[in-house]
Amino acid sequence: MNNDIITVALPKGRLADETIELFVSKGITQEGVVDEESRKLVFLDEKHGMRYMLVRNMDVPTYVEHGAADLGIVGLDIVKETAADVYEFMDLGFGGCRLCVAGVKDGNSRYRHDMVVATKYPRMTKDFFAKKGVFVETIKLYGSIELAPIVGLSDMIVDLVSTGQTLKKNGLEVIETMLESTARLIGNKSMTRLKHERVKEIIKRLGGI
Amino acid sequence: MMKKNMLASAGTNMAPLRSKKLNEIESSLRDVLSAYGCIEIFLPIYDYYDMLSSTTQGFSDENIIRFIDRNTGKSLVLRPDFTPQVCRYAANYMNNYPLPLRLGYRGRVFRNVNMDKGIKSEKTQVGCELFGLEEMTGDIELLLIAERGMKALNLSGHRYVIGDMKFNSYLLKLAGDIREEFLKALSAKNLDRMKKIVNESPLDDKVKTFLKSVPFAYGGKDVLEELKNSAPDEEIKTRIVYLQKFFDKLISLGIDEKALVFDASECKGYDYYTGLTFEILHGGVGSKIGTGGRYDNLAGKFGFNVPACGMAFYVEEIINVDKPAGVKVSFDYITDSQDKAEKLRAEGKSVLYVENKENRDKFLEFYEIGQIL
Repeated sequence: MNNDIITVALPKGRLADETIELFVSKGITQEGVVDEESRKLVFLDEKHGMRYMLVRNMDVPTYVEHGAADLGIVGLDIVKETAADVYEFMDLGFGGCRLCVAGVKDGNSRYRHDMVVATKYPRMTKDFFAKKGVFVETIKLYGSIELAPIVGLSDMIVDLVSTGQTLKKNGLEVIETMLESTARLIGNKSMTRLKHERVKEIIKRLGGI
Repeated sequence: MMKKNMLASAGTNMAPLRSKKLNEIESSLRDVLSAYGCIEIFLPIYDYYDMLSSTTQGFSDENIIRFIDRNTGKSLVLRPDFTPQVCRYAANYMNNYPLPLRLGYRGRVFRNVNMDKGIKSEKTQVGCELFGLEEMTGDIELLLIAERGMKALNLSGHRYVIGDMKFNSYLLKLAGDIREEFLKALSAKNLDRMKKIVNESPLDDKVKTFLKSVPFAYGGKDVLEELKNSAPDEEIKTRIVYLQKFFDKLISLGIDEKALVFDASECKGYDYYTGLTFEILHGGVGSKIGTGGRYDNLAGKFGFNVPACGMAFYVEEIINVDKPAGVKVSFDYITDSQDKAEKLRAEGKSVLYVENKENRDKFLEFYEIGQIL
C-alpha cells in the first residue's frame, strides 16, 4: 500500500504555485512538476508518487469529497462555502485574503432587512446576516461582483478583497470583514484513511503532526 | 413524440447490464448472510416519520423524502435506513425466538439529494442485524460476514476502518468542558483547531498530549499500541486493550492485518452507536462499500431489551468497483420458431424468440447471442 499514488487537487493560479513551492521545500515533490503554461491539467511526479490536477478553486472540494482527489488545497472561504464533507487537516498559512461585505462609498453602510447582496458566496452570506438578525436576499454571481451595487443590481456585495484597489476604483468600500481566509489542506474521508501511511507522512512533513 | 417535461425521471433508473450485475451481487451476498444463519425478512418501503426520526442514524429533515398519509394525516418517509424497521420487526414478532437472532434484508433506501451533486436518491442495500450477541462475539461475526461478502464477490484491496464509540465517549469525558469544540475538531481531523482548543484548556498535560494525538491516531495495530502507552487513565487504557484483543482475534480468524485500520478519531454517529463501528473502503471508489456497528440501546426503544449490531453492503458502490462485464445483455439462443424456443427453455436455456427473421440483424446488434437457430 505504500506504493499508493496520492492525487492532489490544486486551484489554478497562485495557490498552486505556492503549494508546489512548499511541497518541494518539504521534500514531498520535485521541482518543476506542475507547469501551468503547458495547458495540461494532470501532472505526475512518479518518483515521489504524487499526482496533481489543476481545477477551478470552487471545484477543489468537489473533487476531494468524491475521492477523485485524495487531498486538496483550497482557501478556507471555499471550504466553508461549499460545506463539503471532507477532512480539514491544516492551515498552510499562505494564500491569505479577506472575505468582506462592501457597499457604495459614502452610501448607506447600515445593514437592513430586505437588502439585496450579490456574491459568489451565497451560503456564507446568508449565514452571516442571519446571525446578525438581518434577513437579506442573495444574488449569485460568478464574477465582476463589484459591478452589482453600481448598476443597482444589489445594495451590497460580499467578495474577496486583497488590496482593496478594485473596490476603490469602482467607488466601493469595505464595510466589514466576514472571514480571514488562508489556504487549507483538505482530504477525502475514505481515501486518506485507506492510504493512511502516505497521507500521514505528507502531513508530518508539512509540520502538522 | 414525448412532451419535453416527461423526459426526466424523479428517481433512479438502472441500465440492463447494471441491473443484472446488481442482481448477481445481491444474490451472492444473500447467500453469505444465509451461511451465517440470517433469516430474510421483507420490510415496508415507507414508514412513519415519528418512528424513523428517533431511531435512524444521522436522520435529518433535509435528507429524507417525506409525504403525508391521507388517512391519518401522519408524516411518512421513504425509508432512509433498514435498521429501525428490523429492530421493530424483531421486537414485535420474533421476541420469543431463541437468541441470538439473526435477521437479513435487502432492498432500497432513499434520500433527498441536492441537485448536481452526483449522488443517487435510491440505493440498494443487503444487510443483517444480529440480536442478542455481546460485543466481542457479535462484532467479530459482523466483520467475518463482511469479509466473506468480499470473498464471495472476489473483491480484494478493501480495508476495514474501525472506530469505537465507547473509546470516543471516554475521550469526550476526558475533554470535559471543551467537549463540543473537541468533537468538532475531531470530526474534521482539524489539527490546528485541535491544538488551539486543547492548549487553551485547563486540562492536565498528559490529557492534553493524548487528546492532541487523537486526530492522527489512525492506521494499523501499532496505533493502538501507541495509544495504550500514552493513555492518561485506566478506563481508556482498558478499552484500548480490549480493542487490541479484538484486532488479534480478527487476524487469527484469517482477516489480513493490513486490511484492518483503526481510526481513534472516528466519531460519526457517536450518539447512536454504543460500541464498534466500521466502514468497508475500497481504493477503486472514493466512497464506502459497506458499514456496520453496534447499537445496544436501539432494540430497547421498541421494547426488545437485547444487545444488537448490524451491517449493510452498499450494492451500487460495489458495482462501481466490480463493473459489469461486456457491453450487451446476453442470451443463449435466438430463433424464429416458437416450438424450438420452448424446447430449449425447458432445458434451462435463455431464448429470444423473434418471429420476423428480417428483424434478426437488429437484435444481434443490441444483444449478445450464443447461437442462432
